[in-house]
Amino acid sequence: MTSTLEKKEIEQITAIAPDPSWESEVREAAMRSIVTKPGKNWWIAVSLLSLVVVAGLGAWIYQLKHGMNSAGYNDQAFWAVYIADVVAFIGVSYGGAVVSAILRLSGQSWRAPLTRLSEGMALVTVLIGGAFIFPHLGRPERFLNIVAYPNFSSPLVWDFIAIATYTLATAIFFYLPLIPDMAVAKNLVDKGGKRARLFSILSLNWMGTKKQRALLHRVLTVISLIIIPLAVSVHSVLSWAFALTSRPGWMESVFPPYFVVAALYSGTALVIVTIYAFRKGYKLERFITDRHFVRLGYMMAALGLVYAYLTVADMLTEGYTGITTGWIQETLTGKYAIPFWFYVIAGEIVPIALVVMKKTRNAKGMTVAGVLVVISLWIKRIVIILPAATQPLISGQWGSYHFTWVSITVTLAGVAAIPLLLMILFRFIPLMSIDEMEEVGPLGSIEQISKETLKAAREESIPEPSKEESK
Amino acid sequence: MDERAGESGMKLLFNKNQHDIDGDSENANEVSRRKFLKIVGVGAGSVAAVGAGIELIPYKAWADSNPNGWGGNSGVSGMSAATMGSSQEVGNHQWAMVIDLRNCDGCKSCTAACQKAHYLTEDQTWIRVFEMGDSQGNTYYMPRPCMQCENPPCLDVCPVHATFRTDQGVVLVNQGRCIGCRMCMAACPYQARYFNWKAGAKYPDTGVAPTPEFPVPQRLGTAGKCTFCVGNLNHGLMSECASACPMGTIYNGDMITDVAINSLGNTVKLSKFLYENDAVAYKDEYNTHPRVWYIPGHGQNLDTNATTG
Amino acid sequence: MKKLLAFLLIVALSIFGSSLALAAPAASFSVTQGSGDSLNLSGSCGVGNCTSATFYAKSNQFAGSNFMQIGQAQANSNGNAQISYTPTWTGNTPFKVDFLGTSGSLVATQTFTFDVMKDPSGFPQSAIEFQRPLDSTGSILVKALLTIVALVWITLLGSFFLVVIRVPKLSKQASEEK
Repeated sequence: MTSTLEKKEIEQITAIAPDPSWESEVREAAMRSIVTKPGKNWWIAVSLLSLVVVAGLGAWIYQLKHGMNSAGYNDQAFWAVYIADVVAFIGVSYGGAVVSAILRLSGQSWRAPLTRLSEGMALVTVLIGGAFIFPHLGRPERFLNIVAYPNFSSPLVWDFIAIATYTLATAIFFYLPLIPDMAVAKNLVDKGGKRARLFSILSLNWMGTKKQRALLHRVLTVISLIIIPLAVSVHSVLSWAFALTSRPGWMESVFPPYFVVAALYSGTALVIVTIYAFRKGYKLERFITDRHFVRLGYMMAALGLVYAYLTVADMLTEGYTGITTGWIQETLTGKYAIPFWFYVIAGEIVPIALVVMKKTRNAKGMTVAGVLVVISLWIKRIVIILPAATQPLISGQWGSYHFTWVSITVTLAGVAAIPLLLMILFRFIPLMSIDEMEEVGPLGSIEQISKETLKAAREESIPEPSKEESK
Repeated sequence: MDERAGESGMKLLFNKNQHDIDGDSENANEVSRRKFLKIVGVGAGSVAAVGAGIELIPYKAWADSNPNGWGGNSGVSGMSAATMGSSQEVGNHQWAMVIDLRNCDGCKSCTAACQKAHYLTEDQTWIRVFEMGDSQGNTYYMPRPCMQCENPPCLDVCPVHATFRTDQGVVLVNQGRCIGCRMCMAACPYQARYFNWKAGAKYPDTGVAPTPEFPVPQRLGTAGKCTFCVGNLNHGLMSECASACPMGTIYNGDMITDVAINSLGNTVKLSKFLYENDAVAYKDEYNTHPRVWYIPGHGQNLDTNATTG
Repeated sequence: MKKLLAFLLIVALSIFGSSLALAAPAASFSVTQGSGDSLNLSGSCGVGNCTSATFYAKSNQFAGSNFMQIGQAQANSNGNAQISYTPTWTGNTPFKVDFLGTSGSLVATQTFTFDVMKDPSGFPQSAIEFQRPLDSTGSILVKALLTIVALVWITLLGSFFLVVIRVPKLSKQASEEK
């Protein structure tokens, strides 16, 4: 599929990056976060982020004591910021899972430097998103009633099942590709240390034999196959929590794909932001190149266009007949006009323009686009939720939701928890999948190379580890 | 909503004054012949302000298609009480309510009495009086309790079975189980669900533990709603709202004994009263089958009631 | 202990009452726990000429601070009347019985306070809960979907444990082969 121009580039890259030093380079770079001691900036960032998270927990305790009114809720704004957080955080998690799973299934070799970071981001965000169910509930201590007295006709029970399944899948999907890396990592840290012991346990005594590789490859293919429909079902079910009510603005058949695409769109954006941050923090420019950002940027732009299309489809269908136009008027020209048009400009026009313009089609440009998309998609969720929730169903005034310090602090705590948990997580595991990077080689980690090429190259260059050990 | 329209016949869109519908006998016959009626009782101007029109289903249509009626045997909607669910036992009463809008002057005594009896906050209007507009720019008032749907959306979506329906047809909330997810508030098309948002409301020590029938004191972080004052009804007392109404607007009824009474001491045969006064069910196209019936209109009987009451 | 004392007091009162029946008719009244959550209310007017007894309960729940009527019963030839009653609340509740004589006039009134015991958490019994959609055709769909979910869990956990168990074994094999 490579064009002539790209072939030239491939030759150039091959010329620039000769093979032999690749293995040691990759190992050094991936282990950078483990081997080196955290610097001053790392500690400052972690303590600041922890402070925000602790403040959020404090705000939540305050809310538990004083009731959800302290978070700005009332009878006509019964669902607001926390459910938007749940949808948004679990949504971005999908991006991480999909970058890894879809690219793995379609045999995109250039995914290699990105998979670990995106899977880690997926795991962290799904945990945070799931945790946001607790501030959303009026009685979080009774949460397990869902297990004790489940009503299987309730979309929220479906949500619970779907999110639990998805979290399990994400965790397994994160751990399994880690096994070969752990085997490498245990030899690169101080022998006999705590970390060496931890890595040794996690590596399952991996030796990288042909049989082991075949087994892991097969299992990962199965899980990649499962995780894609699983993620689709999670966001469909999340959307049904809204779409299965009789509220104008929510009761729409377009909602499941609408939510799935929103999740993919914001998720790809957060993958871009995450890899940019880690590339900068750990100086991974050699491995994560502008080409990676541009490819992800293309993906993001395409998803953004699909999302814009679904937004139009949703509003036109509802608005044309004029029966239930209240929420559309409020969204387009009323109370929610500013956040809605902010989404249109910062969440669609600007990011797509950044991808389209050659000048900004680089790591920085894509990251700016990613940040804009993540923020405006959160705002879009608020714009989806609030007008329909606050509309009067019989007569009378529109309700209104007021952001309070409680809801803002709790939400910011969730936002801060993403980098915090990622920074801590990647102090214990390699930044990149060493195994995959070594498999695809310097060329494959940047360009798409076919499976056949890869196979041939592997047979030539990578010696059987068992032979190596016997030497 | 359209599924039902397709089944039952043509959909009529009224954009007329409310008086045409109850007062004019020709129109009333037309309504009953068509079996299905959808009244958009609000004009284009007020649609924007109000957001949703009134969607009403006439009692007559059902009664005509179910000639046996429900005099103790079958549900109003033709849904037999005995077939409402295999696990559902049919109680000795099937409580219902009739709200005669002709009498309502919007004084909100019902809301006040309800809030006093259940120690509710000012926001928690378990029975709320809505000010409605018609196409002529007139206003009329519509008290809205919980509709005690035979097919309650709130019951379907509750993840923990905290909402349940008793054998007397009353939908109640077990605040001891509710996790406070507010899915019921999203699902209710009548905005009849309320939540306990604020801590610190002072309740007198009644020495009574809260039950679903009488959820006082309200529990923080759980959902609540009109209980039909089913405790009162089972003890031969009227609901708080009905007994507080100075106009006799609200009738408590029992579908088994086919009787309804109001605060003025008027006792009526429920099925006949509904049939002859063109009673309607509100928003039944959501397939909710409310047990609260409205008699549309405003002011027709005001004079006679004013002298007696 | 209190209850026992109260009971003894009532027994004493009723004996005293019946002995003085002709002089000054005095009623007796007692409430005992019946089967389940029901209560047995039995009263005696102490004389044989009572016709009917009306029972009341005082509750803030329904009637403000007033007594509300909860049932009526005919008195037998000994002047005894009793009903069974299931309250819907719990707590310390005053009950009252009024006896009517043959002449139609009030002959006796007796109040008695009883601690109504009822487990509120056990209130919504499963018999009155709709188990939708599990009791209708939707149950097949629900079961099918739950089966799919179960299969997904089995596959996920299965692949996980497959790797966790097989990988060390394969390593062992490989090192043994050497």
